[in-house]
Amino acid sequence: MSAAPRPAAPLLAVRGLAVTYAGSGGGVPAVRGVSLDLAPGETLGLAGESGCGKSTLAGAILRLLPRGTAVTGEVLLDGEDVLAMRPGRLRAVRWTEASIVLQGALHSLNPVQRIGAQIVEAIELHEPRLGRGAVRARVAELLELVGIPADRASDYPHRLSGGQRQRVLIALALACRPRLLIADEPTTALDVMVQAQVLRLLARLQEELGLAVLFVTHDLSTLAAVCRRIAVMYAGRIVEEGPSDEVFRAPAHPYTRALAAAFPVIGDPAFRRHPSGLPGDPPDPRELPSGCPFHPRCPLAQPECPDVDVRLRPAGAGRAAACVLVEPA
Amino acid sequence: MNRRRVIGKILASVGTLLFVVVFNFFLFRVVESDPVANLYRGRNLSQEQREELRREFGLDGSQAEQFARYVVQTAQLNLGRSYVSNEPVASEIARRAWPTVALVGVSALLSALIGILIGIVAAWRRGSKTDYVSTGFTMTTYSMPDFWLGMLLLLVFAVGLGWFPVGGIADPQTGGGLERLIDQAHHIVLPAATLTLAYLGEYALIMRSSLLDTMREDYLLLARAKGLRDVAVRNRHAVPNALLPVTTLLAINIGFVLSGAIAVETIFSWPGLGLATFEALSGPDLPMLQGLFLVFSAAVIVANLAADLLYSYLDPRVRTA
Ligand SMILES: Nc1ncnc2c1ncn2[C@@H]1O[C@H](COP(=O)(O)OP(=O)(O)OP(=O)(O)O)[C@@H](O)[C@H]1O
Ligand SMILES: [Mg+2]
Repeated sequence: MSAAPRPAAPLLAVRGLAVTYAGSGGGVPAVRGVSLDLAPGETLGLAGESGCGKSTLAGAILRLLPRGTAVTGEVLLDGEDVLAMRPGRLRAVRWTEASIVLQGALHSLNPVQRIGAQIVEAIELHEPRLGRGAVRARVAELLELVGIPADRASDYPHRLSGGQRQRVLIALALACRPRLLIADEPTTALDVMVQAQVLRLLARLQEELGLAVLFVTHDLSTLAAVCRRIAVMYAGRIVEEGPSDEVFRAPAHPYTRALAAAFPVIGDPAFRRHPSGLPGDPPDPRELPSGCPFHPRCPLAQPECPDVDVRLRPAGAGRAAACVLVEPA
Repeated sequence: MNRRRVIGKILASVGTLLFVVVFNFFLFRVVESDPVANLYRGRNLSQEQREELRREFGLDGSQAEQFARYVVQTAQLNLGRSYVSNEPVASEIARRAWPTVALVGVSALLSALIGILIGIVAAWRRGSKTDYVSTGFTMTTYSMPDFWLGMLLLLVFAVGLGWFPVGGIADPQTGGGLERLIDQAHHIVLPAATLTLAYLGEYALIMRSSLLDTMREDYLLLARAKGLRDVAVRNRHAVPNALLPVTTLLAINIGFVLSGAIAVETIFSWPGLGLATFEALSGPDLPMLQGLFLVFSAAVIVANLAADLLYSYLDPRVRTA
């Protein structure tokens, strides 16, 4: 996929991941063969329109998808396949190796528990021998880290603003000092000023703590600012991958080009559905077009596109794209 | 919740109670204009005896005077005298409240406890055989009238199998102390089982749907992502949230504890307020009925207030709003 030497063995290696939800009228193939690598301390952005499978991919990494969902492939976390772990091992790995800031974070805190208690719960679960004082000190430190006064620990979630809740969730995700943080649209529900603050916070934490971050969003321009590399998803597959500045500046795939050209109108729901300004809707995973699933909306579609199931191919140094127009360099 | 809102709610309850007191007075005046004539029908009473009886029952003087006297006496917890026993209504009610509190109290707690547990299991194993069986069972008991359930149990377990007494609260022949207590426990089984079965369906169905709603919440997914076991996710995060509406239901139902068992107490001759109501109705013993209605309404009003305050104590979103 890419020829550039990796700085280290990958912390996260996803291999041929496919996810099919159980649906009433047959399965819903939400992710259809995704592979990606994330080295320790590295940042990878995952972009794409609503419904392309970003959250499904993020959830599959910690096996958080609903019962009855078929997941195949490998998710190697530090070389160990998460999909093959026994329940006890899986629970031990959750939050200590990798943690997640869920999409829809405003509802991710238990409304009848104080926020401090919700952080304490995670620490005590994974480090039961830590003394009370040490746990409390860790909670205070975590809250300060995300810029929330430590005495807010005794507040209930509804007392916090949206931005503060998002910060608490980030603090919570860091409670057991994971090496990988999955952030699923951590800024989407926030207003612009707060979005910028949360992004700066994430960038700072990533650097200070040497975190690897998988950053999910539908907004390509956000990713370019935060991530070193990006992967663009369409209809359950990665259609382009590479260093973020290059992908953003010179997209190889027509879909990425449309995404990059679009001007984000933050807070506009219509923009969320059609961030690319592309005609038409992203395809329903149950009724994917033949060949390249993007061809019905592609401004550069070729006669062979409905028939060729095009896979990622090299598109320059450290880059790859899944389009017949990409000539192997 | 701040102090002003608490005080506001208490004042509103007191206002409702006052309204009930006033309404109660006029309700029974409408029902019966001259109870003395009615009660002693067929007997030859002199005009003096008649006046004497009227005074005794508080029926002399103008309507306004009667009303003023009624309000003052009610405030002093003087509810008049029973036509039948000629005892003060207040002490009669106090005496007969205990069997009801014991019977309905036990049933209310048991039905809530069992119903909630059934609801939790059914929701957590949604769509499983356990869910179908338990939901079918609770639907059935929920839709059965309590007097019907009571007669069924009475016929099978008392008349048919003879395992339990057919009625009453104790056998007059048993001695005192522990022996008496065991005898009463034996007597309470069937009426308590009837009420428990009749009530638990509501708790089970509400707990089930409340927990199913809660299970869709994002914070449960987050709790699982943290590495908690499923059981811990359920007990620490899902159930406490799902219990909120059920707690309110329990508090409101407690208000019906005193009045809720008229049919069942009658079937099992349980000498509580329910049976007292039945007896007073066949009199009709108007002062007794009036007193009973007042006590029943007061219980409901107080329980509603308690439910309100309890809910706002349990849910931090309401508490500080
Ligand atoms: N539990 C589920 N059962 C069936 N289908 C599902 C389920 N969850 C998601 N899907 C479908 O899977 C596809 C991918 O969903 P996913 O949530 O991963 O998209 P996404 O890229 O995260 O979108 P968004 O930007 O809106 O968050 C969608 O078509 C969605 O309708
Ligand atoms: Mg998503």
